[in-house]
Amino acid sequence: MKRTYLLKLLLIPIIIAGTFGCSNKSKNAPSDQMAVIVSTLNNPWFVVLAESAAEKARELGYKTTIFDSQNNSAKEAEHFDNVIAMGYSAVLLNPTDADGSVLNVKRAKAAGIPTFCMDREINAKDAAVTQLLSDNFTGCVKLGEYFVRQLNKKGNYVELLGLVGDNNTWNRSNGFHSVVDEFPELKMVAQQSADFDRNKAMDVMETIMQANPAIDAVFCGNDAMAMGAYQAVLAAGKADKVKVFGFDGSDDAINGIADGKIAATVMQFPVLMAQTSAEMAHQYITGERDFSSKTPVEVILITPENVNEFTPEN
Amino acid sequence: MKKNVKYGIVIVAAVFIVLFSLDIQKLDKHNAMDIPGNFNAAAYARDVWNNKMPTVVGSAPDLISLMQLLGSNPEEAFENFGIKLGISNTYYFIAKGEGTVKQLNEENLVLDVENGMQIQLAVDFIFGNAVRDGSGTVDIDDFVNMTDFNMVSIELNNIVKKEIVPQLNELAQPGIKIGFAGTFAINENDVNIRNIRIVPVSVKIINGE
Repeated sequence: MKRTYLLKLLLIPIIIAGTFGCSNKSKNAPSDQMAVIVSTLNNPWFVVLAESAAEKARELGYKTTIFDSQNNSAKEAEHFDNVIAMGYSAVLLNPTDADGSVLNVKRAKAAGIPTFCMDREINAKDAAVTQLLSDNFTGCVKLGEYFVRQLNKKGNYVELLGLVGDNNTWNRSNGFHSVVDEFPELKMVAQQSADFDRNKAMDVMETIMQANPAIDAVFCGNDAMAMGAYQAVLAAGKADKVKVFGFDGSDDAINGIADGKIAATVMQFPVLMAQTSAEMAHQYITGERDFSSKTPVEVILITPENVNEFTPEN
Repeated sequence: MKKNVKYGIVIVAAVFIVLFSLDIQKLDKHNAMDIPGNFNAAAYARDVWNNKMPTVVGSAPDLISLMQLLGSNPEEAFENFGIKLGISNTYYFIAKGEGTVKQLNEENLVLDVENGMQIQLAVDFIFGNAVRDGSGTVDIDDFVNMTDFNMVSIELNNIVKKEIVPQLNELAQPGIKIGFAGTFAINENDVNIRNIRIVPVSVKIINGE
């Protein structure tokens, strides 16, 4: 009799654990917090992204904390450890690495915490609830068409890539090359990564120009690199010969186009992406489950022909 | 008897634990496409082109009717015939029609269609997502990343360039009437039906003069 009673006592917690799973989400933590985990706060673009997401989440009634991963996947993993332990309601994530961040998002999912990716993609379709991403490919198809026409379908050019572990780098490059590679008289004399960094882009461009003096254009995977490349071109006295193309739609690049320094860029909408991610997270928390795995956000080609619509005073 | 009850409880508990501890998914949800870098965009696009495109072309709306609707009630045209991806002002369409070749430019074939309207059929500068998204044959949710999804656009465009454009360049002389189906994009903030540029996905010569 005694043994049977003991057996029943042992079985009850086992059945409860089996029925409700082994979630390690803390039950004592507040459930009205959203975490914003951002790849880096060293780049103003990501500061805008993170702060816009946090501000929108606060407007929706959530306490928010911004975690800076400092472009380090290990640091990002630590942030997820904390977020899971604290039992946050949702994560608004700007990942550090398309492959390296997948496990973090899956760990959060297993703990019952939904993740919404912003701007940068992870290579998984069943980990994040949805991923809001600039339509980088289409933006660079438009930029590529403009590039081809500006160079009259011939000339030597350089490509400066962003972070090689970031899918945005390759979606931009693939979109650009899907156009430009069809014109055999356009020759890429160098393709090198400058990690989306202005100073690195200046150094890389200086080195490339020493080996390749006859360059007609440079395509950069973001505006920070475009501004760095422009500084290198200017220092070499070739600003009127080398056309510089960027991507992002930063104020520097927009002003550069208006001043005739930059040939074109592609405008992204980080505030829209961040705010929509926070809204989607709120919808999820309040019961909505019908989300597409990816939500591309349209981008706009900015050239001297339409730059007046986008200058800061407008 | 008591022993049987005891074993019964243990078995039920074991079943509960196994059932709720495992996440059982269908095998067909996990295919080669789910492994980054393992996607064959050319094969995928060929399958779409051979097995889905003919059906979509067969049921495509009439171009003239669609253009008239875009002119008179664009919201209804967007709602009933347009395809929009994510957050965007651009709608993609597929339509079919007939027209008489007016002239062949470097990048476009200009056609006279009904009611004094003209359209352009692209024969060069065929880039972007009009074929993929206008045909509605490719679902973004099937892809592990945007790179693979975008590669399908490149490969569908390659098929158009290799298999459709040469037919137009070779056969379409001024005065010849041709039938076509194709995809195009319209910005909802700038609905301009007088300058529609269509990427052809199907063409046939109806008659020559």
